Amino acid sequence: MTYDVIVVGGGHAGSEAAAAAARMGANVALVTMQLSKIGEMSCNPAIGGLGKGHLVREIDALDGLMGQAIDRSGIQFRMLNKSRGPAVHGPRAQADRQLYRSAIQALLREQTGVSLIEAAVGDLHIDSSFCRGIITESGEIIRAGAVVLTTGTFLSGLIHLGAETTPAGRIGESPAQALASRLRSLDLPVGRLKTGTPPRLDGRTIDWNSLEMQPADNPPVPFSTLTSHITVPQLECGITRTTTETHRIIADSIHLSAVYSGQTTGQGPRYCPSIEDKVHRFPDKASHQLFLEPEGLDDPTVYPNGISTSLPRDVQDTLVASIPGMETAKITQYGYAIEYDFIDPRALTRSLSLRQLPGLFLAGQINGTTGYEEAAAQGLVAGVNASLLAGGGAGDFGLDRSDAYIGVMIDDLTTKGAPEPYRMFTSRAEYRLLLRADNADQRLTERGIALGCVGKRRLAAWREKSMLLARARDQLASLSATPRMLSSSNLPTPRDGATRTAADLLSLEGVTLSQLRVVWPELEQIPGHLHQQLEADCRYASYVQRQRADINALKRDEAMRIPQNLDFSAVGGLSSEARDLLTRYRPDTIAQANRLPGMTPAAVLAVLRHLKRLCATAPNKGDHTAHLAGKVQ
Amino acid sequence: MDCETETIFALATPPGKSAIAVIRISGNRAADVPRAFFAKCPEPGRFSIQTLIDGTGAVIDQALLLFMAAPHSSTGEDVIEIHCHGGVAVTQTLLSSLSGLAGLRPAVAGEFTHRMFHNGKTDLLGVESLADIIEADTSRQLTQAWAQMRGALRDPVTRWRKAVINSAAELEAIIDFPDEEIPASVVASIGERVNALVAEISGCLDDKRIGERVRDGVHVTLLGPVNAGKSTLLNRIANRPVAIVSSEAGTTRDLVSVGLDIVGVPVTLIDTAGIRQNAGAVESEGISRALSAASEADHTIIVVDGSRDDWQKEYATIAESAGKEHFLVVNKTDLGVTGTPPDNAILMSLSDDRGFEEFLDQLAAKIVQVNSTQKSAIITRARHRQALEATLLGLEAGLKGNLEQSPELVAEEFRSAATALGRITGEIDAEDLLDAIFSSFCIGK
Ligand SMILES: Nc1nc2c(ncn2[C@@H]2O[C@H](COP(=O)(O)OP(=O)(O)O)[C@@H](O)[C@H]2O)c(=O)[nH]1
Repeated sequence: MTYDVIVVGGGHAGSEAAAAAARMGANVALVTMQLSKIGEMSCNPAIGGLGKGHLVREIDALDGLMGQAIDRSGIQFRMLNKSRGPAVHGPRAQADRQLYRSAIQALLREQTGVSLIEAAVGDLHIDSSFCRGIITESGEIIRAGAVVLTTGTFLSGLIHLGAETTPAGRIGESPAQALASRLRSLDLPVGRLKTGTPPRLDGRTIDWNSLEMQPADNPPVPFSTLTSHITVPQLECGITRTTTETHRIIADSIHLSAVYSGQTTGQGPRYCPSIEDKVHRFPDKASHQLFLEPEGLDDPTVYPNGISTSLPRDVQDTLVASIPGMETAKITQYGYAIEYDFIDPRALTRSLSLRQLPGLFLAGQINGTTGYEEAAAQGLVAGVNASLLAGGGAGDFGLDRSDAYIGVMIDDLTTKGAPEPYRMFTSRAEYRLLLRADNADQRLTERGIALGCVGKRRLAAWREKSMLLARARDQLASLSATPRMLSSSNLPTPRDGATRTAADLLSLEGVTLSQLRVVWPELEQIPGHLHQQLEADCRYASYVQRQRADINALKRDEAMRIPQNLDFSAVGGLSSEARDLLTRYRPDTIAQANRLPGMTPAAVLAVLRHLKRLCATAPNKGDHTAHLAGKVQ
Repeated sequence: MDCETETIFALATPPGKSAIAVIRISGNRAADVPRAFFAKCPEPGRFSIQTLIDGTGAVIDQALLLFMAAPHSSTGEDVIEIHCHGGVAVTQTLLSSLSGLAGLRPAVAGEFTHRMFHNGKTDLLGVESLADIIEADTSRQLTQAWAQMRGALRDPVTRWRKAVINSAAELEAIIDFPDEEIPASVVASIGERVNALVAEISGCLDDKRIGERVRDGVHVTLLGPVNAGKSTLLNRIANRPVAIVSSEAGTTRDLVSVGLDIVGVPVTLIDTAGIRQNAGAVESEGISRALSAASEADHTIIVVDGSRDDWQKEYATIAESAGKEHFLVVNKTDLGVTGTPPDNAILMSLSDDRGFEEFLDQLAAKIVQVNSTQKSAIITRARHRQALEATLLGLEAGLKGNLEQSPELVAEEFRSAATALGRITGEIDAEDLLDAIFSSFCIGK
């Protein structure tokens, strides 16, 4: 059997990769151990948040699945940071675990060109140093033009629960050892990370009446621009706090925690610490807040967000009982820590292809990231590139840091690696005011259309919206009012006596489009769902303008590609450290080389000059010639 | 051959005859150079006396060779110094032999320092200080250049940048972890700390441009009516037995100037066209130039002929058009003084030298006073000042913003402040600045 693209793994990266490759027109096989688990949320059943929500909107802008799936399964939508500026709004939703899974599976089935295959992958099929398919555990070879590996934490996964350890991918799944040893034989840089999960509770045993409840936003704001409104019933979450008793229990037993007994070796995330970590590191804090999040409409399971732990079972029991509202709560599954190997993502190009083995793309947790959104975003990029490569192209689609959070993430991963599990934050994006959740489609959908990964339905919807946006923008720029008109309408009135356009007024804090209708009733024509986007565009316009020069410089450097086969030992004037760094991490562009930790400006300059010389001896070889000549002179 | 791999060389001492001349060679072929003259390269960090021989077997010179191996050298590369006799033939023969060696080429202006910077041996302030050390004419300029080299500005800037980045990081935590409870005290303390920073940086900017004046020199303009004795005063200073006149005396535009070293500060004294009411067209041109020179100058001295009946009126007019702080010299007291000069005026007669020394003392006092309030940070160039002003702008805009409602805008302002500070040490945009700085270097540095 032969496909264009094989995707191994049916998690969030795998689903997105398979769907993206298929949207690009590839014939795709998604191979996973259990078809029923495709789209499973292995940890906290929630999508989005700060930075992560931005990623979901970007995936959606490129016609991915995640936004649509959460819109069909979200049971508590909440816009984080709602009281702050739109650039830092973080869309988030709790999911019904089962609904989410079915949504993903339904979307994959609806997608033409995706075959779902239930099989354990034993090995990669390698043909003249090129990954050309997979070999199942039963020995069957499935051939393909490119392979995307999205197998999460399967590399030497080890679960810790108190002193117990169990080798596993996730609880109840066996790790794929043969594949792991194949990757090891490639001599890739491998690191070890760990992450944890809290105990799950039976919601029927929680005293909800004693708890403060947090409702969903009303109305819930969907993730996908294809969703007009949310129809899933919305639930509340409970809020409670740890007590001094909780902290005493943890302090007394901390030596029993796998994380503290020295049993684990992986590096954990600083920002999502276990409860034992929090108590240990912030001894002054008398109490930590936790959210009791229902896992589904018909599922009594509750996810106590904030008490991830690897303490022994009996300690987890007393710990849970020490928290108000949870005194008699029953644990249905104990919390645990999992550590796993990951491939240092600096071994990848910015298209997520593995340098040592062309034809193989890696996406998701295997690259050192945590979170469904990070995984899905990588899956999408890997899927697009796998399909481009299988179709005979270069397969080098990538986004810049000034294009998207996806670009920021992949650039961070491929230049800085993942010293701790990588999670997306808005602070990682230097162009945060430009890269907003509300304008993801403005930034990316046209690019997706050009690339070929945007389906008909979204294309039509976007073209319509884009036309309305353009019209509204023209209108806002052309309408102007004198100070007298403004003051008589109770709008902010400039003291300089000059007239202001509607767009000028929207740049002021607190001014909304609906307020402006007092002065200009014709603004009523602008549909309500465009308001926020237009307001945000105006609000940040001056800041974005200020960043243009930086962005242009970045674009210029990003445009200077370093050939993947460049022999750095032929580049003169490089210190041996710089040469090692470059050879090891092979930056794709001059901009990336510049950001490699440990790189000196001199080394970057030496590479630039070398490239310039290459271009000079081989004229008309590439578009970057002109850029290089301009930069080095 | 890639230019970066090339080993560069240059005469480090002035051309012409001297007791000793030094040729400096930097790059990965440096250690091979002695062999080309049938001599041995010393051990790293050592020197040895070697006889240098040309291709025909003739002796060029007996010279002292110093070898500093990378990275422990000024440029961070292998460096050889040839201390040879300073004859024209010796240096010319050595330099032309070096040109003939494969992989070696003469250095372009500033190239040694360029390599020093690129190999991480110093930062942008270090490069600037080095230029200032070489250019220093007075002891005070030298002291200042060394202070700058050793961190007078680098240290506070690094500290400020860290503080701004820390405050920004706390804001980022508020933004990225909206469900975590961040104590209100954190928000309050961001404001407090940034306020303190604003105060400190403003204090540093409020330095009466001391550092820049010491580096660039102080300009003093002589204003006064025609025939008051300005040229005579200038000549008197220039011909003073204890020479305080520097070599830079000359004519700038149509203004005559003389360079002085007063208590270590380079001072340029500029004579201007005399000012006269109802002046003709040509003269008015000269007068307006005089006034504009005065307005650009750091100090103005108004010289009047005290024997004239209307000198007080003339003085009042000139003082008004000069429009700033000045000091008054009432000259020609030998011919008698009309009326009562103000208390702070200096009474002088250039005919018999009365009051001249007092005048010099006053001049020095003025300049010392300007320079005595040395602050901890030294701003020695306009670009430092511009960067600090941009920093202040960012911090102040950030402080005006609402930390709770638009932390993203405040963070953006802080980010721009940190970027501005980074420009001072060359962490950002180093390349462009370097080009500007190196253009002032000459070959061999
Ligand atoms: N008696 C007397 N004559 C002076 C004195 N200073 C300058 N002069 C004379 O005044 C005339 C004008 O001086 P000059 O320096 O050319 O004036 P300027 O036009 O202000 O530059 C010359 O003939 C000088 O010799 C002084 O103190 N006493």
